[in-house]
Amino acid sequence: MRQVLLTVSVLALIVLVGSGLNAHFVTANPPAQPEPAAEPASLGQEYTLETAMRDGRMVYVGAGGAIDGVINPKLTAQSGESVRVTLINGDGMLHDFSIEGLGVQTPLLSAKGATTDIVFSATQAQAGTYDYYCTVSGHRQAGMAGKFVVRR
Amino acid sequence: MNGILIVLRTIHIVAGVLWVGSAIFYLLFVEPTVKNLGPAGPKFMQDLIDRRRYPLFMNAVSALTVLAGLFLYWMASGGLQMAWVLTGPGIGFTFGSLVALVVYAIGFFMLKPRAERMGKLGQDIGRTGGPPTPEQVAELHTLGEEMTAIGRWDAILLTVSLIAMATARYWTF
Repeated sequence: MRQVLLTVSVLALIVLVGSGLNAHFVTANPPAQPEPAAEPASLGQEYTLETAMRDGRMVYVGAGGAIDGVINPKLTAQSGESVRVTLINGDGMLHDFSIEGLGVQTPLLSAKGATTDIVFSATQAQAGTYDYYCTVSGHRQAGMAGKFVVRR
Repeated sequence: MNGILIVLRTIHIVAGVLWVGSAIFYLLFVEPTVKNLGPAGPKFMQDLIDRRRYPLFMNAVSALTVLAGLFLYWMASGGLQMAWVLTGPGIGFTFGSLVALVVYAIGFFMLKPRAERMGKLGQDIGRTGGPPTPEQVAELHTLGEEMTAIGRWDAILLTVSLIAMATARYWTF
């Protein structure tokens, strides 16, 4: 019984320390944004994605504009154009948004309704099609993946 | 959220390394050494169990591993969403977790009482100052054999769990 109490106390302490660290990260370091590959002229594209469960799958759902309601919508941008992706946690699970090939990575969100955004751009040399996905283990396989196209 | 995950993963991995490492070290090195020590073996075990508190250490690291792992599993699976559980990583982590829970139960309900009994016998033998009675020798022998057999399965299952956990994120079916 003493061991159980000790273990629970240690875990509670860990969660408290973790919360403190988290608060520190949030206040001291705003969501990390990758170095832009090229100086963006102006904000060209804005996309909002909300995480959700659809037909037993974990997915991103487009919110607003041409992608409204589209599951794992195809996102596009011109090279050199600045893109803002806003992620809304719509299901209260642990999620993020990443485009590995472009060095795009948002912080993890866990609370329902939490949001984060990231602004980035791609150079002409980076033109092509990339996968965007959630980096939490298994979430990509569970359905959280789509395409991001950079046009020349 | 990143801060909590960093702390939980650190606890899970460090405690897990200590748990698996200690179980394998006991099976491969400590237990054969105790056998080879002859009459000094029980004294060694008494010191390991009573003074160094080996069972308490194993209980603490295994409990920390399991509890931190449960938190991480709950967060990654979105509260046990089947969409996640049935993915390759989901199957890997679920399998590894279940095996680890079985090992934890084995340690708590089968190994710990035997280790404590062994420590108690060692204390009794030490208190009398003389050689152990034939009954005590027989009981120590039985306990040692049982702990070896259980410990072997414990270490094998822990290794299976470790491999599943370490590779689950790459299971892409």
